[in-house]
Amino acid sequence: MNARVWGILVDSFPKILIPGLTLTIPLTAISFVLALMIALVVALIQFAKIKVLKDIARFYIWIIRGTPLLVQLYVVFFGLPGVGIMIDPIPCAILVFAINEGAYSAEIVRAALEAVPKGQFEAGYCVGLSYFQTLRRIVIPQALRTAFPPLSNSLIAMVKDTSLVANITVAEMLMSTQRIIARTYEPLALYLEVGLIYLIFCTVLTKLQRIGEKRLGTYIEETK
Amino acid sequence: MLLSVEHLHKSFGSSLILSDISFSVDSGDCVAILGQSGTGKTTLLRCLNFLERADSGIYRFRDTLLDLEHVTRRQADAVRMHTGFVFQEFNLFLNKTVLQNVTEGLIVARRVPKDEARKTAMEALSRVGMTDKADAFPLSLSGGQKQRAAIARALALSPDVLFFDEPTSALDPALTGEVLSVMRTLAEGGMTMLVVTHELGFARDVSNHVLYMEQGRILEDADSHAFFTHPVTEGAAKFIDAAP
Repeated sequence: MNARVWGILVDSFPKILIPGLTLTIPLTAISFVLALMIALVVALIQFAKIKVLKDIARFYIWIIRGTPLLVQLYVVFFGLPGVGIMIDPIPCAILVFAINEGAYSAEIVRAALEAVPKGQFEAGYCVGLSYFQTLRRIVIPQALRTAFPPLSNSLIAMVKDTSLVANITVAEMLMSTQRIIARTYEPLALYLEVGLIYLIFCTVLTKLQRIGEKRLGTYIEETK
Repeated sequence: MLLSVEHLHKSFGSSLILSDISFSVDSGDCVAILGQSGTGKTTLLRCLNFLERADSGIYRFRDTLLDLEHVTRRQADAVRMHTGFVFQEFNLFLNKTVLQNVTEGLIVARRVPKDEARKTAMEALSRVGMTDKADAFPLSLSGGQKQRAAIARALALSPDVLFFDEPTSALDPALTGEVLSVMRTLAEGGMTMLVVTHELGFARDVSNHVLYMEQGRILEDADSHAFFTHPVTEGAAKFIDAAP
């Protein structure tokens, strides 16, 4: 690699990293928090077998999992203005990512809730706890520990999926990279560079996952 | 009389599990519920604490009279306020320490202040010899320790009666002794207990009252000594003889 390419790489590093810090990370963080809230509600509705709402929950998951994320972004960003609903690109991205991820995470949380032994509920009732008290104090904490690794997976996947918002005019890392490529004609070096930045982000998340698992799982760790 | 059941029936789908069960328990009784596996002993015990719903029957608990066909959640909770239940599989709250397992019901359900709950819990743990494991998590305990912690959890709520559902069946034979000796101490201290068990030695030595069941019915309802020395039915005689 010659000095020119190095120069381009060094020069472009902050130009790619800054949209990463100002767009990719906040977009992922906000969307994921919203997605978790949706997931918990949708999972609990199914877990508690609430009539009607349960069918709505299944319908939501069916639609979202059965259609591409990119199509969902296009429907909301390019489609909805046709019926008079205009949403700015970033709120639109947050909305679509939260709804999309909510459906997948709901299944993770439901599986984790169902994995908690039924005896935990019975023991709760026998010491006088109500259904919701047992759920909140005993069952959900155990389920979250089980759900944590697959949810971390989803979070890491979402960091990279945010590159799709380039398609709805948001100049995030990938779009910024493409702009530099258009100017410099160094696609290999620059695509590798943006890939490396994604890798750094995901490495940090992987480390955080380890810490989080330890925290949530003190009751399991102690026995190892 | 602390509790009584009259004409309790229970079926799962088309199979009859409990048929015309009637008996009564006095305060201070230690009742052993005996019989082969699959005769409905556990289901009977679970019906008494509303972990299963009986189809019909009359349940008298202290001063309350309940028609089992129409028990409300509130009525079930009112009975549970005065009972403790010990499970075969312990069912300790896995995300809580031993001490938190014991204080949980006191603090959350009975609204006892934390300091007082802690004190009550430590007393209960000392009765089962588990004070040194107060801060341990259940997954780090042996089976016998788990079951003793579970007994402390039930005891701390000062129940009028303790239900034991095969408390030693999931334990290594070497560990059943520590649990049985705790139960013996409780019985000797006057705790009212209903114990579904396969430990005939315990039933013979500790219980004063035996219910012997076959195929969802109580075949013998007798004084413990009388049951073991002069069983009335052939089934019970065989059952006693077959025991090691």
